[in-house]
Amino acid sequence: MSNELVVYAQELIENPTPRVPIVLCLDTSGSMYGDPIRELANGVNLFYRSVCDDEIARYSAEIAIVTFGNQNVQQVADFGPVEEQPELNLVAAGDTPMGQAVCEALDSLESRKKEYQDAGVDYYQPWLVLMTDGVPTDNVNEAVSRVVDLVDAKKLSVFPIGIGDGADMNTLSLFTRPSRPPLRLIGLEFRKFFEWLSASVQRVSASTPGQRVPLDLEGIKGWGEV
Amino acid sequence: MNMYPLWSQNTRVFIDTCSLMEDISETFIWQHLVPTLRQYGIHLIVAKAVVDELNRNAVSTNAAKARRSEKAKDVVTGLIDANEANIFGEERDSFPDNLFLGIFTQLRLKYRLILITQDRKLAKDILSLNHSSAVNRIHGIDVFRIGNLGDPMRWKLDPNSPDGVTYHLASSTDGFASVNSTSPPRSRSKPRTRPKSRTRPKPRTNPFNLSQRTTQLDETQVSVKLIPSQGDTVKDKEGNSLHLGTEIGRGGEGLVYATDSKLVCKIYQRDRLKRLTLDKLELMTSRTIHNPSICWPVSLAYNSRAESVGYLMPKAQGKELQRTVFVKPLLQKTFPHWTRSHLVELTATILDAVAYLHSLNVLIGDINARNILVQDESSVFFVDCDSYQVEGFPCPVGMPPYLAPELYGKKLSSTLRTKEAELFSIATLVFMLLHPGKPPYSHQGGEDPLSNVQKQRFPYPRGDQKNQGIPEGPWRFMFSHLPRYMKDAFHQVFSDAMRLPITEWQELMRRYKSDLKKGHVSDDPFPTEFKQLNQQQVEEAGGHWRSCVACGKDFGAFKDKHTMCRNCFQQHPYSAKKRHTSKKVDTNSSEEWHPSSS
Repeated sequence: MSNELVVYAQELIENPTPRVPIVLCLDTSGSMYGDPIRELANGVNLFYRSVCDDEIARYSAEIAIVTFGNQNVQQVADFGPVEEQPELNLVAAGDTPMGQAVCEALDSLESRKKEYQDAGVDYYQPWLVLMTDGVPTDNVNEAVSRVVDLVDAKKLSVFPIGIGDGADMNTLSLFTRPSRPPLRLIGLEFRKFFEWLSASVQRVSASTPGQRVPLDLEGIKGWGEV
Repeated sequence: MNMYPLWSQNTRVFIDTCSLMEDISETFIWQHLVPTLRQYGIHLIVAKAVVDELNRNAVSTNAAKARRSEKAKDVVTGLIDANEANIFGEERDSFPDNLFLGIFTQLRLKYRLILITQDRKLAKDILSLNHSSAVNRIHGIDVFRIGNLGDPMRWKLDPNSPDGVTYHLASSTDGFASVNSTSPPRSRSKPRTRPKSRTRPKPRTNPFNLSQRTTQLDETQVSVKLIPSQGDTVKDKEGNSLHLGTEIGRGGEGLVYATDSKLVCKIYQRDRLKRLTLDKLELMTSRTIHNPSICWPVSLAYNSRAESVGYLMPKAQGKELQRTVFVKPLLQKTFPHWTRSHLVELTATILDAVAYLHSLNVLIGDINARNILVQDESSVFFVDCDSYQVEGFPCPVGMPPYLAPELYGKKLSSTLRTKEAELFSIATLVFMLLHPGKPPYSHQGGEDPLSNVQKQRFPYPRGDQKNQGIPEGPWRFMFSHLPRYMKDAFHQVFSDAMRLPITEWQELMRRYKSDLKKGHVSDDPFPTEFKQLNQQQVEEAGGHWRSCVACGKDFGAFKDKHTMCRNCFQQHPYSAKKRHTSKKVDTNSSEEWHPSSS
């Protein structure tokens, strides 16, 4: 095993904190070119920093990233200690194969959960953040049914976010229940969204059972609208 | 006849292990003995060696003996909780029999002495101390036993009896004050004050009432015209003005500000202030809490229109347990010099503060690693006290893994919790302090903290029992190095669904501390190997002392097939492969390698 892998494996078993695995499923298709892709990458990097800066989130959040667009579907970051993650650089190009990306995101969550179980590490049910500015160019049926089943079984929390006017809110709404519709990002407020997400991670481990992840609804107003 | 009366302030009463273990001991103690003790303002003395013997018996393979010892331990705990008994003596005193002879020989010139024992030989030896050379200076020694019906029987020297003693029912001249009540001992309303000499003189707070029923909880929102913030002034209940400074904390309900006094001020958000919150705070602030560890509300805070907007409390120092102790890198950063002794001391400090709250009939309810702040191992601060369960006001919140399994699915905001539920949280916290941050029910194949608690699968080894999916990482080594009595205590709670009283955890910590000091157990906070037994321990436990085929080091083998020491076995490709290919861990690699490893 390489040194890096040893550290990675050690962190997994030596950190006793229950984990919150989060996968960001991000649209990097050609239409994101320019300010959107830059702001998105800045937002993710800010997310990394803000998670690292909080001792509780730092030891509980694990973030993987799957992009769809440039290079088709690609896992650009894997789970593990956030502080080990290199700064994210995104390039916008290509189609919008959202269905395949969501399936890969779910697969990587499943395999991480398996690793937690094998090691005896507690974890909270994972989060899937899905961000797109357009219309999927592949079939999303399988992805939708897998997500909905997991959400119904309370094994996944999903956050579908539309970017700009071109985002297909109808498709995004297939991934959620009517009680929690997808949100549209206000302008390019990626930073505010990721700040909010980081604050939500810090709250998850302090919740009373039976209550859902205590979302800061006030906070959503800073970045999103229905 | 002795010159000194049998009962007076100068009488000292001791009890032997065998009497405590009598099935009827509780009747004797609460109906005959305690009323007498109270009449003279004295306490029953329980020797440390007796407690030790009970602890040893409680893990006896003889089930009846173990059961009676458990019960006797409860009796002692009840006595101490009610402040009717004191523990006396040193760690590792000799066996009770020798101890009593020693103590009675020493104290007979100073006190009128009474021993309660079922043991004929001891009764005779102790009574014989009345007839020694110093006879005219002896204050007098009497020995009683517990009769079959729980009444006192007097031992008497009798040269005609083969044992040299006989006994008969105590007479009225023996002065036992008896009550004919069958009410359970712990329902007594108010514990007595402690004798002044024993503990630090401390102003006493009247305990809160114990409520069986939830108070009428008035959920009405209180409308407040003006929510003060930084720069504004609030008043306390005596009308003193305090200036709100910088924000120092933020929670779901409101903000906490520094003030220009020693106190800090929590101001509720506009929609979070209910009538019941104020009712509860009124009740809480009606008592003064004399314990620097508890950031108890001391006064409501009023805005300039004299509306209640929050409350004042002492400022906490230090940082949350979760941010200081519960992750190895943070512990090493915050307290780089800490050893296991510091963890044990910290646990004892936290237990003391909890015990203090319990003595006031207050339950914390939402015990967790984010509302206990640590400054150092002997100074901690309990915050978020406004959620505590006081009289009929429930604690509305709680979280896994601390919340007791019986509380899941209950509506916490209207459920009064039991002390037993709290004792589950305490046990969990103690486990997580000694295995920094690791919840007791984490196991291979587990999921989220909530379902792990509901499954109640405690994976750590016990005796010959196979491993139940012990988590990977250092936790198995930490558990392996715990003294036997700690392992037993954790198994009682997490495997046998028992709840140990807080006094027992305190006692265990005293023992652990003393064993650490003597070097009997490892002081390493993060051991990286299993505990090794020495040759004598291995052979006494029926094992064989042999050389490891891998590293050549000597080790204790308890099965013929064990040719490798446990540490080598762990690293052996065979066990590593098994660990990674099967969902369940290789049972051999982490079962308790040695049957007795205390």
